[in-house]
Amino acid sequence: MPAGTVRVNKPRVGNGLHACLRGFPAAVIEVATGGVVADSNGKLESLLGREIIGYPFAELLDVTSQAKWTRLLSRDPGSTESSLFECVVQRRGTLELRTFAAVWGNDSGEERLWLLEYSRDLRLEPLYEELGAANSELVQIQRELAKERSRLAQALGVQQSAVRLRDQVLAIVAHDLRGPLDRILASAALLREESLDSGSREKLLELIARTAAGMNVMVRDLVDAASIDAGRLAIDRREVEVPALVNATAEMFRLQAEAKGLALTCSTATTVSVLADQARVLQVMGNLLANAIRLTAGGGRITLAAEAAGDNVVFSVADTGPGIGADDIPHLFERFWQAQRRHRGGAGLGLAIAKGIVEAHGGRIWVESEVGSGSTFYFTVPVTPMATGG
Amino acid sequence: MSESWRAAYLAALRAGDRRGALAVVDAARADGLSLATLYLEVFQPSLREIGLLWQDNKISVAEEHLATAVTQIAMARLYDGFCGTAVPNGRTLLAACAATERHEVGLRMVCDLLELEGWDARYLGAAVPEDALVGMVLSRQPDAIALSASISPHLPQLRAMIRAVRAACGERAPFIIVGGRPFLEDEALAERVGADAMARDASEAARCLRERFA
Amino acid sequence: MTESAIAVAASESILERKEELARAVTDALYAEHPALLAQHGEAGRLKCQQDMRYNLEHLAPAVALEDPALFARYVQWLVRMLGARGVAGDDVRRSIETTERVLSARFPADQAAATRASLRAGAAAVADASAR
Repeated sequence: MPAGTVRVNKPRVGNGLHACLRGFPAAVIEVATGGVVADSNGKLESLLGREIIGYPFAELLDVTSQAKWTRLLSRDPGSTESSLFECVVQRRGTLELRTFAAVWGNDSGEERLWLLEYSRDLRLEPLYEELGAANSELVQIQRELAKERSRLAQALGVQQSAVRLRDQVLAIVAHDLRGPLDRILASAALLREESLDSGSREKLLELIARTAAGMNVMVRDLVDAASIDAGRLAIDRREVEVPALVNATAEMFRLQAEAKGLALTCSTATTVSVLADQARVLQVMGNLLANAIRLTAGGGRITLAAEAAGDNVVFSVADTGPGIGADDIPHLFERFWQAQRRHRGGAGLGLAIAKGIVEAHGGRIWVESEVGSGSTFYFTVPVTPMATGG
Repeated sequence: MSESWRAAYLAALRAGDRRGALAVVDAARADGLSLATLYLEVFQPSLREIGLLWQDNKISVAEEHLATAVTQIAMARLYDGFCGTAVPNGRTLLAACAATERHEVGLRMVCDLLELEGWDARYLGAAVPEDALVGMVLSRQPDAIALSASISPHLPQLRAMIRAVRAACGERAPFIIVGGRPFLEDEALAERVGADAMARDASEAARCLRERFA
Repeated sequence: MTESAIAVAASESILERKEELARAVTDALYAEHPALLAQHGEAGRLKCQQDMRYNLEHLAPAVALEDPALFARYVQWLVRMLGARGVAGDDVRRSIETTERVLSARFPADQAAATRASLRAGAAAVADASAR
């Protein structure tokens, strides 16, 4: 037994309650097994205006509650589970509802039933409704906040990687524009030499023009990428004949391909026309074709094709180049993806721009490739609506 | 495995032990219990048992409310943990309770299970006026609406909500699924209130919508 | 008016006149069984009226949806809930039967008729629930 605890032999009546229960704000009653009130903290007495210790508790109740009381008393006193006892007590001629928690307990070897007044106020129910409504609102707020937090975290991540990418791109652009610019400046300086013969002069001017044209393409790509980003890429749709479009693209690149020892062939199995911006579709095919020529080794083959499929024409550019790893394919059309790689051939905007142009036409672009067995890029452009009727 | 967690959780609820109940949830999650299992095999049966205890006068209405509130807190914490982790699948759900429901835990479970699968589920909670619901449906064009009623006095309002949505959307009305106790024992009731489908619990609702919009 | 329109009108009247009807049912119960007042007093009477309000709230949807089983299931639940609080199933049945009489007296005949199937299913459900 812990120090300071004193065993008290409790008298039958009037002294059984622990001191702390005397100050309890609601009624606490100790009932002996026979149903006689053994002790009380006085709260029920003040409510009822009468003595209760030493009286049968049933005497305080109305008839129906007396029946319930008898059932409660006859329950197994060994049970330690509490139950709720709702009853009507007679108070100065009127009746009142009271709820008690009823607990059996052993007090110095004697079974006792303890009644603890549980709830005075049956008007709590409407308050619970209010509480429920308030809770519902809180739940909604919490869910919206959690969603917002996760959105912000994602946006922050996107922004951080965008900032990183932009820094890389600035470095690349600075490098890629600096090279040709240096060549132009050097050529211009050489042109000042009075001793230069007219043939050399001609060559230098040619070099300046070609280099500036290359820079022009890079600047155009940057502007296009920015337009696509802002969703304001201008598309001037007209009816364009597919075979002519494919052949024109092939002719533009034929010399370049032959110079590298590549066989460039066209296959157009369709005569339909598409509703498209001819210059833009040429730009897409040109980007794909230039990549294919750049990456395919001499002796290889490049095939340009177009065929009708439902409401679309599927254009394709196939090469026998090194192919693309499966890990890279999902990122291929992301802007500056190439910029993150060590071996790159350009600012890394070409495929992203191609995707932007194709999507602005309402088409889609994809690639099928395996390392070692070449790549085929596909893109679709919707056919002219008139033509679908035929 | 879930049975011992359920016993522990129910014991904590019965004792009104909020911290203890949340500790059980944390431990169960750490032990690898999935969110769906936690919802359907721990929370749901525990709350059902609490409801029976109240019906049988073993616990007071306050204790019942506390048990519900503790479970709401547990769900809020879980939601904060997984919200935004799923890859969006483009599907949207609006979920609302009829009238001033207190028994909205099941509907939140439906939302959470679908959000885990990539749905954009918006939980509108209780006491959503008809015209507000219709406005939301028109502006957000959800694929589906989930509505719940836990007691039959809320059914007329549920039916009115469905009618309002159908009147405003016509042929293009979203798929409407209902749940709640009045529907459990009567297959035909869902049709009578104008719903497209009925679910017995949160997992059935999630399964139904998953299959419908596969 | 079609039958279902009558049912909906009856259901709406039940909810609109809930206070009046709950009081009328309670008064009728106490008038038929004067012993109740002696037993429960005014407090019991108020509590009874609250219970009658709740019954009417559950009766209304069963009437509107023409689904007596809906009310029957509520009554089964109610009997178990009240049984745990010392209220006998017979008292529940009596209150439902009294509700039927009150509605017959106060509602137009067609609306009162629309409520009857649900009330009878409810009264019959008391026996089922008590037998469980």
